[in-house]
Amino acid sequence: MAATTDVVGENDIIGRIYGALSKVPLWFIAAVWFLPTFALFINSFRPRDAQRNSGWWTLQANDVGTRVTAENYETVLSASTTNSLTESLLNSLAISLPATVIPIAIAAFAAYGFAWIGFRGRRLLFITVVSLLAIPLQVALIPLLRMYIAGAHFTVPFIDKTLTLVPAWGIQGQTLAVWLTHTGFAMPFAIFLFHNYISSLPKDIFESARIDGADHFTIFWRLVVPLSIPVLAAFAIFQFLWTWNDYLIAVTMLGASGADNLPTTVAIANLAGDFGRNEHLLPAGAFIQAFVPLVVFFALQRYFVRGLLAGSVKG
Amino acid sequence: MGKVISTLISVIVAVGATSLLWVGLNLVFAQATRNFRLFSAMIGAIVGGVSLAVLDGNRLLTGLVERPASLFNGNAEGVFTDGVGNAIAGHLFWPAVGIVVGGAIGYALAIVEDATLRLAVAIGSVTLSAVVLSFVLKTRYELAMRSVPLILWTVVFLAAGVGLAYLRGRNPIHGALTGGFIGWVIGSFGGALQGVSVANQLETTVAFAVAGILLGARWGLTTIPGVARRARIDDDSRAWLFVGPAVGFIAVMLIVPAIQTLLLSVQEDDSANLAEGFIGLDNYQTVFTDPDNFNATRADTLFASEASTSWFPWGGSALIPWVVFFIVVGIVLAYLLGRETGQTFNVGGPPIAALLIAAGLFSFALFTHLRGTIINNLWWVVAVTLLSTSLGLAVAKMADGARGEAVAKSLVFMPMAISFVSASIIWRLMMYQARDISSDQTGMFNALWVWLGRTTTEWGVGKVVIGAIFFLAAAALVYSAVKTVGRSPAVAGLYGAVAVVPFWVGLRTYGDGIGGYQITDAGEVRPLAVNFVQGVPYNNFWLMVILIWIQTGFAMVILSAAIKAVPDDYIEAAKIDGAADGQIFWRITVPTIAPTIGVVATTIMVNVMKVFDIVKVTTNGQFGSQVLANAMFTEAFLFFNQGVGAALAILLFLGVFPVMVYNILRLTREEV
Repeated sequence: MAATTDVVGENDIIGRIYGALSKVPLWFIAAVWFLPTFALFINSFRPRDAQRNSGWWTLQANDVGTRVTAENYETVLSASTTNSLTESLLNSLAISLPATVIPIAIAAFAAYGFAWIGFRGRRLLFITVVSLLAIPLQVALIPLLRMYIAGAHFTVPFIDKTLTLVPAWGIQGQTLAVWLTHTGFAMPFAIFLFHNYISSLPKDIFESARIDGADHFTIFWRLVVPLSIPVLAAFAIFQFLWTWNDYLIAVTMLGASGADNLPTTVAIANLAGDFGRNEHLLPAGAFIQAFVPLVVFFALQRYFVRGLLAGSVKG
Repeated sequence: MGKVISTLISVIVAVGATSLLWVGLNLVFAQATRNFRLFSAMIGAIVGGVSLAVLDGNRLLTGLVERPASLFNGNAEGVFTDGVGNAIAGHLFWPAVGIVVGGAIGYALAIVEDATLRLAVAIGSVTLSAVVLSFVLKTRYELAMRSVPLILWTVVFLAAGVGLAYLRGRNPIHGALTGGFIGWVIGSFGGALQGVSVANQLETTVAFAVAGILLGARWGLTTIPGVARRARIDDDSRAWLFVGPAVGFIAVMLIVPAIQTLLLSVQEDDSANLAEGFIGLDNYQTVFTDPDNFNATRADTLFASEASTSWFPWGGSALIPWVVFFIVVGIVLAYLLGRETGQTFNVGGPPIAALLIAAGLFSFALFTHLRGTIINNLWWVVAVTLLSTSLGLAVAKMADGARGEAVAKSLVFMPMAISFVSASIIWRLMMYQARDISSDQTGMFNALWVWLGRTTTEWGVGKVVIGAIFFLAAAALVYSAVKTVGRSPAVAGLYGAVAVVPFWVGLRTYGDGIGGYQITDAGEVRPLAVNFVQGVPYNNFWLMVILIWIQTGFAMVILSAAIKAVPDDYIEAAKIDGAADGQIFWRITVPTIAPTIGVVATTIMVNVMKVFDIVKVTTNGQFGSQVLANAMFTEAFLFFNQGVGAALAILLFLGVFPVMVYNILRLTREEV
């Protein structure tokens, strides 16, 4: 249905012009929103001098007359040069895959527990967990980093004995520290999302299963998981994008000692801070970094949107 | 590549082991209802095995078989070297003993039903095991009883146990025994002196024996559960098993560190613990009194007239006339609306819109006159939330039912998939780049701005067309005003007032011209590029545009779904009553989706408060663009001022705290 307007007498000429004009803002905004990414794509194929001396829309050639070239991508993807991103792509994967899969398992169990196992203190615990949705990560970073470096120790007061709760494994600088942190931070949102969905499953199937003698474990595996695949997939996509695009946790936990393990976000951020020496590589680098999320986004947009919508729309 | 494979393998192994453990525990607790004796034996075996493994792993027990380095030593030379048999046997011996003994005790307690016999069996077996353990303890870990802490801890915990028991309506003797046991163990642990000859075997054995008696008595007093209680054990244990890991992660990674940060923020940097380094709110004072964080010295020029080098009222006092204009418009519209509805003044939709515009412009003027990190964060939150939500709502409304809706929404939503780092690079490199005016502009905004300046300062086709565009926009708005003046003068008035803006721009286009130019003293017109990223203070706003670019898609998606979820009957009923499109939107749709707008706004608010990547990659907080998250990162991880860094983190938390409270209130009103 075409958007109607406030205008009375739409069929006269001015009314029709007005009607056509009122569509302009939408497409103007859509074009403006698309332009930056498009610019990135175009500029990544231009040689260095062309990028430095003229805007991307001109598609002007450089001194030698080359308009488009793949050399930026070659530099950035070859394994040998110092500006290579191939290693960081693998690191990003090494971080994102565990950080996506593991929270799903842990949070799905917890969500089922909150939804369908009645236990004392359930409501209070659930509210506590979900109220942590808004907590900024910065509040936990400093102690977490300390714990990864030096372990966690608790000194019992009055008798001055120290218990080692977490040994000093020294995992800072490794991808393990990064995805472990991501798992912890993802818990509130994952539990909230899954709980919303699982608690809305019809009660009768659980009751009939319990009458048939199934215990919670069986119900979870045989009934809840197959039915929850949509929301699990939605969260997986969301979490994968979030961890692939993350910068703060990676740069904090990896820092100086983890220079071999930097994901793509940190790698191109470092490239960007290089005083402009390698500015011409940045578009190619940024596009490579954005490539995987964009592919995931376009292929699985429906599930991503569903994940965002869960619990946000109040009917 | 080898690194990826080894990571993969270690992850699979860790995950596999954990899952097996979890599944195993589930199977164990499933036995609670099916075969209680087996269940009791297994629980006993697990408890016994784990406790002895912990003691052994901490190298407290004399091994029967000598074995190499401990498992928890960084370089695991342990298990598979120096003769396989010896090493494995050495590590597994004590846990195996624990399993057998624990299992036996557990089984015994499951078959003996007579109360007195149970008590005897429990006390006897546990005390015996404890005494044997005391002889197996390595000599240098033997205890020396320090009576004062010992008695203190025991009594305190005993009292706590009794108190808790009364509160929960349970048997106080049980509470006393449990409390006493815990207190005794902690108190004697306090007396464990290492390597001092004061310790002796007798005191150790006595300590262990008493602990054994207390624990045995407590267990002996329990009864074999009946069917109902077994089912409850099964259920409750599942609750712990299912919810436990997640809650454990949250506690360890969120709650405990948050508390630690709070403690860090009231300590001096590099102090060993809270007692030594407590400095109260000094760190917070440092943060607030730093002029980089809050600087109001320019506030008094807000209303003074400023010589502006540019024709556009970027901010500050040049915006004030527009603020006044919209306030006056708001008052007039309130009067008009009042006449419509039969009152003197009615502060309804159109007047509120005008006043909101005035408030927005004023806040922009205010923020550009104050300086500091804290001000910047406030500015970010206000600007990004308002603009993202309104733009998202606008796009959602415009796209609803339009042709190519999915494509348009996809294009607006796409930036959400891009990382903040890449987005910052896109905008910094391609949109905001500023170069000396002698060379071409490579940044799109500057190219457009300079082109506009060049084209509109001389009469030509460009100037005419551009001016015409603005006048056309003004005409469209006036047309809307004319068409609605019959229905509602107030709404017409609002359209008319807003039409003034493009009309004024059109006038200026035909006058001196708009865009990037400056007139030199000689009367010459020279192009002028804008340094978006470094120009204080508006560079903040240009950075915000990046986040708005990303977040609008988020708002749009959610609001679009909400708009589509408005029941069709409302809209059809309104249409039958002759409502126009705008009325339907503002009077029906928006109030219905108001809760969703609230959710969107609060979510964006929380995300904006934490902005870090954008600022770090574009300016790293220089040129007056610093935000709290970046300041915290710099202080804590680059300058190692952990106290100040923690204080900044807590300030961030306080910034989102209202949203947390709002969420909690919303949740407690719903049923879990």
